[in-house]
Amino acid sequence: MTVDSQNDNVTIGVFARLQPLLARLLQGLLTLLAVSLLIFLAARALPGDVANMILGQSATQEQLDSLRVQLGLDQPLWWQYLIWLGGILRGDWGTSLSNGQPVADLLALGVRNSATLSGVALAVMLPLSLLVGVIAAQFRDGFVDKIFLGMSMVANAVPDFVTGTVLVALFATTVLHVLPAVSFIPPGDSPFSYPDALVLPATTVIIPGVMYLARLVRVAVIDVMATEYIQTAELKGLSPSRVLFRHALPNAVAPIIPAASLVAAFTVGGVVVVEYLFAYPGVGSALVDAVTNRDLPVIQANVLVIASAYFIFNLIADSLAQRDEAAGQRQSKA
Amino acid sequence: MIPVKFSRAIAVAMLAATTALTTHTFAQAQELVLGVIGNSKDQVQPYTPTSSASAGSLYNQLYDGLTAYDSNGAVVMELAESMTPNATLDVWTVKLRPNVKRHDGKPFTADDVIASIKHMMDPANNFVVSSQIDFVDPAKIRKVDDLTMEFTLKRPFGLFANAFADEDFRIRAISDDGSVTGTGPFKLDSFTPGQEARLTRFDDYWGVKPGFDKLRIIGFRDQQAVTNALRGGQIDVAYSVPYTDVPALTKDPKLKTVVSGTTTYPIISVRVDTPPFNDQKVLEALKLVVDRQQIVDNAFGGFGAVANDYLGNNTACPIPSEPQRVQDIAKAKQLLAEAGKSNLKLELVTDGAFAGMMEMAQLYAQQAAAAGITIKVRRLDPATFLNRWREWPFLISLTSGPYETAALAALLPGQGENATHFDDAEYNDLAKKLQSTGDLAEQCKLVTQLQAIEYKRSGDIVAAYPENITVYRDTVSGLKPDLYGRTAILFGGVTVKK
Repeated sequence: MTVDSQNDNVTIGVFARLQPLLARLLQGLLTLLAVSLLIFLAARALPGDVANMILGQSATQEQLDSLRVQLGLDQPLWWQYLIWLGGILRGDWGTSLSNGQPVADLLALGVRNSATLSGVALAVMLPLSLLVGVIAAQFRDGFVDKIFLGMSMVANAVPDFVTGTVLVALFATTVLHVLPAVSFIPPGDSPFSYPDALVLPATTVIIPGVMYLARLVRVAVIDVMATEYIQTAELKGLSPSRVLFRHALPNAVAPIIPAASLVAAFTVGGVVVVEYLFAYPGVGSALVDAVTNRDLPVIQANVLVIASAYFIFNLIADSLAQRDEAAGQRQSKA
Repeated sequence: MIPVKFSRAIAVAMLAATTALTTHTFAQAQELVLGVIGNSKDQVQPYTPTSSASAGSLYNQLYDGLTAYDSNGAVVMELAESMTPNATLDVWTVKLRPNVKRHDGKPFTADDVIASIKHMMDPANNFVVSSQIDFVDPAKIRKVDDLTMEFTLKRPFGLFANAFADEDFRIRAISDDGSVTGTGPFKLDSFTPGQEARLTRFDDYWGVKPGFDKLRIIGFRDQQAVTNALRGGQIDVAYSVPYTDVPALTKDPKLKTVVSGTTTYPIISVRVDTPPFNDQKVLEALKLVVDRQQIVDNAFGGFGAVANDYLGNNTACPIPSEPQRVQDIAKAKQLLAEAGKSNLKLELVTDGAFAGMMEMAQLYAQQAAAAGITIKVRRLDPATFLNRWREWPFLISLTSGPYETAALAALLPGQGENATHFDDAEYNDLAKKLQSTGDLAEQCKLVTQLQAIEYKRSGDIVAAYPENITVYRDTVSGLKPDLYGRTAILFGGVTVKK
């Protein structure tokens, strides 16, 4: 075999491995395109438009018509969509119809704030889920485990806004006054400059996340601890902590990682409710506002960001699941 | 002779004292934080149709009007020093207050006023409320000198000073760099629509200056967030709070309240040009089913007074002599039977955007049920609601502003706010007379007559005149009651001690 053909084989090998990923990426881009078209049509199907919202109840029909022409709302729907899409492909997100500010500026601010909130929530949620799950598994069917299972059932059944409202009453307005009730981050500042403002919204996201993921960890650890190789390790006289952390946990965590990626995707989406509740200036609250104002370019941009985040986390979840599957197949062949 | 060393010591001591004083003054730099419902449609320049609380809070600090309504409802001169008409009321000479400075340091002159009014009246700028000053001919405003202008009007107009006192007609100026500037008590440092505005006191302000240095206006998404921020100490003053929150808030020892009048309140409106509402008997029956006291108590938390189906409770004029309408279900049923509409089924729409709207709609539906009228209350989002504004036959509407502007905008034919399609020859005639008289006693007589016609024939069911409640932290002092509900945004003489 020549060097060239070896190189070719390597290239083909890399390509073969990358092909599913590339296919997924292409599929993702098409999905985003479909999402943007659906959102565009859905937003236009809502009664009332941005001209109604800008001019309010004093406007005459002539004034409404004149503003619609100024904003380009008199153009055919397909043309408006193509103009918007062309802008996006050139990296131009357009300007907000309701206040004339560049959408990119509004978006940058929202993405930074939402990413910070989701990032902080996930950074606490993932290790905490592991810890709680392992503890519950260790004390399986004991008092601690039962308390955890009961609490997780309640936490998963209660909507985020109820959890958030209870937290506000407990820590900000009614019982204690130790944390801010409203997480206002001034537009020019980083959320990290206001760590206390992140606590309640992050906790509202963390509680249901931990309660869900820790249940999965608990079951996975219990399953792994019942396998033969763990029993062998125990019979060899290894310490319980070594058995747990060295042998059981790595195997227990593998099936949970895709679920964790999905929880991360839900966290990004779930932040909409939490942001609204705490008046936190992120992508979610910007989206609610844009829908109220029928501000199409802002709606489109925010939906695309949230859809992309979903897509990326789902892609990670799928890739990890496929890797685990492949590893499982290799093991069974061996 | 003072020894050199001693004089040096004195100099050092004086320097230290000055530094200490400066540091002390600096340490005293106080900021007031105002919480409002934010609106991302807000702009810095004041000629936008957005009548949001957040825009109003900002404009009130940045700009002044030629005239204004004071806290007792009287028209007072602001940037104008005098407004003098000719005998036929169609030429007005406006003299400006001397030595008024703009935020960019330049003197405020007649050029700024003329440019502002031309901008307001240019149809391309879609400044919808410009119809309220449609008596002005922008091409016929003559600059006499830097502080004097002569307005030749399209028609005689007696309420010239009143019209410009409406807060929509604040005057702006344009700086050399093209940015918008004002003459108000605060100048702008930064602004993000719907989220935050930061302002610094304008020390060259011509009027009563605020007693604190910095003002921050924070925009919240919903009323609950404003209330929470107030209770948690994140804001000092809440622009408004829901009536239902007031009892809980007044129990907090750190919070205080000011009860003010307001010209902004919800009313129930019907289209008088559409069946069944074009039947006077049906209209009268719909006005007779209202238990007004219950609406005051339950929709407005007891903060308000029973109303009598006309606007303008806060005019300084005598009220019409019509009897107070009280609930009379038997009479209402009889009128409906006479009109052949005994089993009326109606849909009442609202966007619930103002405190008390939903509560009022639901209470009215319950009260009307006693007379056999079935009312389904439908809550819509604001864009859906506004999309068919002037088409809805039965709606919760909102009035805002002093009588001579608000009522006329809502009750004269062809006006954008005329949701009831009211077109009454006698009313139109009296309104025309009101607009073309300069005599205050005559104006009052006409207002009372106009209100009597509203009581009898208009499509507005005015159940309550609610009050405005401003809740603030005890670190703030000097907020005053205001007939137009501006307590939370009038900062002249207000101080903060944190």
